[in-house]
Amino acid sequence: MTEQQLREFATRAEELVTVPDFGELDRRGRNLRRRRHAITAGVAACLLVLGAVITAQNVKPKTQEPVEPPELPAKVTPYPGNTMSTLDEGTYELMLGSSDSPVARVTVPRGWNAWEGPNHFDGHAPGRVNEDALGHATWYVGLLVLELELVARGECDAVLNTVGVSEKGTSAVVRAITNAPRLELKAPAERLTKFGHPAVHLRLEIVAKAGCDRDFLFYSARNGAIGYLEDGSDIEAWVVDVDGHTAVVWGTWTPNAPSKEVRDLRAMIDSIEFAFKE
Amino acid sequence: MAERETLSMGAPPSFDAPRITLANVFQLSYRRLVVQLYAVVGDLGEAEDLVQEAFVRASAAGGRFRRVDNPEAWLRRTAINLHRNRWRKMRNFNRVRPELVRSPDLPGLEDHVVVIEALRKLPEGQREALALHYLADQQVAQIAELLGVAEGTVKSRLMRGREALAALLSEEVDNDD
Repeated sequence: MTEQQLREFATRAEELVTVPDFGELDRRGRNLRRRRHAITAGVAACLLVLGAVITAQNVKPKTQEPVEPPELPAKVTPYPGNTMSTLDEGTYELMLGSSDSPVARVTVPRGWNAWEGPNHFDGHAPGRVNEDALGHATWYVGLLVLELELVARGECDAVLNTVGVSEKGTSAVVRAITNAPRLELKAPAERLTKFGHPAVHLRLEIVAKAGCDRDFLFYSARNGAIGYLEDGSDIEAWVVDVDGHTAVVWGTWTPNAPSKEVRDLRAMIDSIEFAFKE
Repeated sequence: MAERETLSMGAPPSFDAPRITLANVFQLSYRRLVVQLYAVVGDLGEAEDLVQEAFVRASAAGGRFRRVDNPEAWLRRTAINLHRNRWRKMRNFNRVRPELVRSPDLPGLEDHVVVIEALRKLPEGQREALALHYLADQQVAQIAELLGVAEGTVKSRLMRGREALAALLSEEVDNDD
């Protein structure tokens, strides 16, 4: 009887399963294969260069001709994390999750602060550290690049009420963000290619909600709990499928942030490249 | 060999046919694999994610996948390993306890939802064993090898799982009376 019920369940369920587009899955697989080959080729190239250098060192040339060094990539600095110190202008590499996850490389202009992502605000004064300046700030812009695990949900009637989105794909993350309390879509979500990957573009605003004091918006194991900016703040976000990993690029600014700061933020976002560590 | 060759005409499709493509395997096996994983993990959305990710990896494997003897078994193993890896990561972060939202069950499955609800109440090991044995027609040795446990463990899980599932399903019948 039990076995029969199991099989009847399976037979009926098979009839009802929705079949997705195979082409999309195949495309993702081909991209994954291309990336793996690129990494393998890169490693092979490094080994060839290393072999050539060792060979050159072991062979005494008849003439002392200079050896041209291999072209070095542009300098990329590991992002220091939440140090609340001023960053040098340059390109930084942010870790998103585990060693399997992609990293995000972003070019930061002069004067930005190192929080979980680069941010910028006023309130600075001689002798005042960045942490204190933030307490005196009248405007704020910030960038986060995250691999989310939890997103707030519900009507703010629980202290901790979240939806898990870890490894559930871009659609689940988009759904969770657009359903989070106090976030309002300003325009329809838009599917496009951004940073060289399929992405969903979201334009949101943080709105006041009576009876909702929620501070916690989302959580990632690498960055911890992330809260809301003030009411009326704008968010421009991209939920990106980076070869099967879901990354969230989250740009946010307060209502009175100067236009130049928002332009700098957008330029930083446009500079983002995703890569996988070897 | 081109990736997108069609099946040779005249012969029924089978995994032994030299020109079976991943697209063919997808058409033949996708639904069945989703239902099997649905029974294993208890969540339709997760089952769909796992099976789709398995097909992505099959596509990424290219020629290596085409040389596999049993493509459906390869895909099922990949999906189950993905599920186990996810849950291992979830157990590792304990700072915030997640409130997972279960995906809705298949619409139209109302007459059989008692089965999936009963399966969800079983310990994971029993649920896996029952789903693989009855829905994927896997034998004890195959299940043991897939899950990385002894054959005796699989037999024990099957026996206890059958008893527990039967008790849960008859409870449902009693509740309806």
